[in-house]
Amino acid sequence: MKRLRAWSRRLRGVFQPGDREHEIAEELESHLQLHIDDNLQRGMPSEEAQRQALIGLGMERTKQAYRERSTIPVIENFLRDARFGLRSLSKSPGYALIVIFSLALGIGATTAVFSVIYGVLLNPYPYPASDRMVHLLVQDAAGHLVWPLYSGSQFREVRQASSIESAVGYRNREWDITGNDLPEALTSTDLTPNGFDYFGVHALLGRGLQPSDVSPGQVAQPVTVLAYKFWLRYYDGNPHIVGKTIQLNHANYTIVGVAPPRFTWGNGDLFLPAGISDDPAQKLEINLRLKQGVSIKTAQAELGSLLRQFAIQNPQQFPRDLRPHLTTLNEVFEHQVGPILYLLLGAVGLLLLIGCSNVSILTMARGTARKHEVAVKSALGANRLRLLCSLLTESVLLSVAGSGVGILLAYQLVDFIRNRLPQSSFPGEAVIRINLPVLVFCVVLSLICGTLSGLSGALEFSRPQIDQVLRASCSKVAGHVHGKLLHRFLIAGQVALTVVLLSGAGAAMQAFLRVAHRPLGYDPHHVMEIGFPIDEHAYPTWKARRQYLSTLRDAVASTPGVTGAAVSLYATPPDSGWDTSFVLRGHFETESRRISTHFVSVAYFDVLRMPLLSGRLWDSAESARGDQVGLINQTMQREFFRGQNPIGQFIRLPKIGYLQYSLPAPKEGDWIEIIGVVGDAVNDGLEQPVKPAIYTPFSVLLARGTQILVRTEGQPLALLPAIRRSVQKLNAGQTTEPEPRDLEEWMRHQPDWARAVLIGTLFSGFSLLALILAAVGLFSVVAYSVAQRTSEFGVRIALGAQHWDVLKAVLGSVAATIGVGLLGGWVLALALCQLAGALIVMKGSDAFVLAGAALLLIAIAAIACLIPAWRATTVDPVRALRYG
Amino acid sequence: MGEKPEVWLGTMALMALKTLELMGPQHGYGLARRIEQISGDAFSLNYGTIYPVLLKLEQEGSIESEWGFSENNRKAKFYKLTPAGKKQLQKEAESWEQATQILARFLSPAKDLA
Repeated sequence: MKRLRAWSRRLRGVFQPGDREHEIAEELESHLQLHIDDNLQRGMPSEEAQRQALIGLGMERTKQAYRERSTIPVIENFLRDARFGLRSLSKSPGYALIVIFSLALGIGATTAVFSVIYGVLLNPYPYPASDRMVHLLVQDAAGHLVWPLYSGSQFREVRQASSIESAVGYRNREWDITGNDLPEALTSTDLTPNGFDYFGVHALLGRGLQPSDVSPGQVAQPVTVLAYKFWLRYYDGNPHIVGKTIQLNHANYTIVGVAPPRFTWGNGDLFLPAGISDDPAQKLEINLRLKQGVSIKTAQAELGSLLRQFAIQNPQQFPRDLRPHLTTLNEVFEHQVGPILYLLLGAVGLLLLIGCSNVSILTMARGTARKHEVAVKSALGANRLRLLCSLLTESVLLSVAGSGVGILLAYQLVDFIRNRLPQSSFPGEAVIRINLPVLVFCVVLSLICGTLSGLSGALEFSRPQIDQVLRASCSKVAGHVHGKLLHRFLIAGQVALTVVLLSGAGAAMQAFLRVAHRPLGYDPHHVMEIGFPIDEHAYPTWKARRQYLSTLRDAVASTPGVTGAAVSLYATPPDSGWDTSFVLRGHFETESRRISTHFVSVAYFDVLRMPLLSGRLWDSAESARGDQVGLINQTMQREFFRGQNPIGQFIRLPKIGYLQYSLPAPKEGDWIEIIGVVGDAVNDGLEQPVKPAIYTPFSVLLARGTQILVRTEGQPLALLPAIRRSVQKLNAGQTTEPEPRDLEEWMRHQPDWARAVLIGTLFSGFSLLALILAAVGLFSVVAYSVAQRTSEFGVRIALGAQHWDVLKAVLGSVAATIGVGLLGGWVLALALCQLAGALIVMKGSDAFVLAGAALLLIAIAAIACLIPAWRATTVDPVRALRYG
Repeated sequence: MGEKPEVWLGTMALMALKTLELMGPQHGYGLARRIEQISGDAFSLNYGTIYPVLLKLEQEGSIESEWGFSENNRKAKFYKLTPAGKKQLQKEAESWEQATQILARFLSPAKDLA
């Protein structure tokens, strides 16, 4: 307490120095007087009395001791240095700005990218022990992943497995909200009633699902917990919603709670309890939490035998020769965005390195220029520690400022990336925000970097050879500059790293162009997709549903402004088709190959402008009967009918009966006859090659909903109200999916597209900045060396050297450094491209890109060097020799 | 002594507090003289040493100061013990006494051990 009080008084003393000096001076003066009086009384002569008093007191020492006691000297000195630092920095704002900018960029970019990685890849799930949670999937013989649905009794058996701690079953279902003027479609996530416990989730309002929500007979009670987003959107975040009811498909459900924002399992709009029963309509996907210490391999082995047993009992449910496959929650996303994000992290890491080396270069150049100042201070009696501190303070000031700007930048950049990262490339639970530990780490790193580069200069200059330096002009002869080798090393390093970044950017641009300019095989211009959920109770039979879909399509097609409309189930490009195994009669009977199946009406090819290459389209009679006919794409023809005529061949889709909530045509299981070949249209995203595909009449399989592709004369979305009106005329209860898509617009929202744009933007941005930084570094080094050699050039010019000779002298020394840097950069870039190529993203990094990067760099470097070099040629020999 | 300033400050502070308790309010010079008289050579180097000590005590709240006039009408800063200072003096005096007793026993143990 006492100490604290004393320190606080001393701290106050730091900021109020004036009074204190005055006070102690007065007190000591009075002390002297009292002492002199005493001495006089004792009979000393007046001069001797004064002398003795002065000796007895030790004026200056006392004052110094008193000062040190009355403030905190460290802080006081720091403040003085800081004031001095600010003053001297304000005299060279260019230097200060560049250092701040370099550090800020490094901190901001690194923090932002790492924060995104942390949010998306390292810690996306708010669930307890989420690293032990796995999906129970199977792999078929060809290695394709299948997400099977399990029956209630299978779920129970899986739950009993000894390697498993707990399990949850879930599924998605489509519903209509009824009872309002406007029916609306929604998706539910049905969870076995242990769901909220399993995920360790507490309801935001009300309660979560609980075991009593399913009766002992495994009948789900009509209760629901709203998902957070749906609650905000549909109920406007009404805090009194618990206890109200919502009508789904004409039945009332009591709302018992609202889920917290990050609980988005299944991406449904609301959570419903799911019974564990063997009703085929109530099958479940399974997620497991492994016991602690159980490896995925062990669990896979145990569950494998269980799954094979299931497969023997229900051969139709699983692919043949299945292998169990447990995937961690994030595996999909790790594959999708992991490489890109780590590549970006590498890029920003390089940026941070370039920034730091820039700071070092500039600080050293500046330090050398300040030798004189330091020598003067030293001559005036500043000790080495104080000199070091005063030199360091400036670096620390800059680092702090750089960190501050860097933090702001990091926040901006995280927002930027978050807004452009495709929705589907990170889990709904993920929260992307600044990661505080990382921010602190980067700030500390840059403080260290700034301080170290300051220190390296300071250590050198705090030991100046005063006499030499003070005879200033004499020392500025032919470029013997301390630290020159280090400069060269740093410059070469910068050039190398910049080449790497530039070639990365070039490759990213190429990747983007490849995506952007890829021939699509269909024409998305003026086409939109509208989703229509179908009320399964109103059209329970195949015939009724097919007829309804036809009239629905006709209603849409007859809307003025619509030039074509096609029913299209699972068939909207660029990521289309139901991926399933197939059998080709007479070629192979095992289900080892996969095909992308599209259920469409015949107008589909016209709406999307897909050319028929051979054979014929099906006619309306075939469609009405649900005939098993189909058109294949070119890839299919190429891969499976090398040189043969595919027309008249037959294929079969064994899994077609197992699509949930669907009504297959009466001839289900029959062989599908291939009647024609259409051109390839992109069907596996914008980056992947086209998959083998087949197009059959939509009537072959009728689902609980469908999409209709609409080609229009003008802007497609503008026609929506008119189309809705014509549909309502046909059936007032018919809803549309909430988000119709303009196909052209939608292509730009495709994950691959968005990803390519994002990575292209970021990479180009970062490499451009790196280029600027490197150019600035180069410029300052050359400018500085020219300044150092001014008198040398003066002598040369006086002796008759031409402009060209001086230019050569200046550029020669830099050119070698840049050359070494370029070479190093090439080697590094090639090595990294091998690595990056392996990480799928950058396949196109070729010599062209590398050469381009090098040329750009050489051009910029030439400009950065020529400006100061040109200045050297204009040196006036007389001035140079006199003042140099 | 100069090698261990904090210890020296502590001893000196105790002397100053005790002197203030005995003599009442006193200026720096008076205190220094008094301590010198009693301790012999505490100020063999200089009187100025007392001022940082007084500043420390004042910062800690053990004493307070006020400008006034000396007996021969010189303007001087007078220091006065505060209640907190009295308590501190008592505590520190006790602990010093204890310490010296213990030390004394160590340094001339003959009686006890015999």
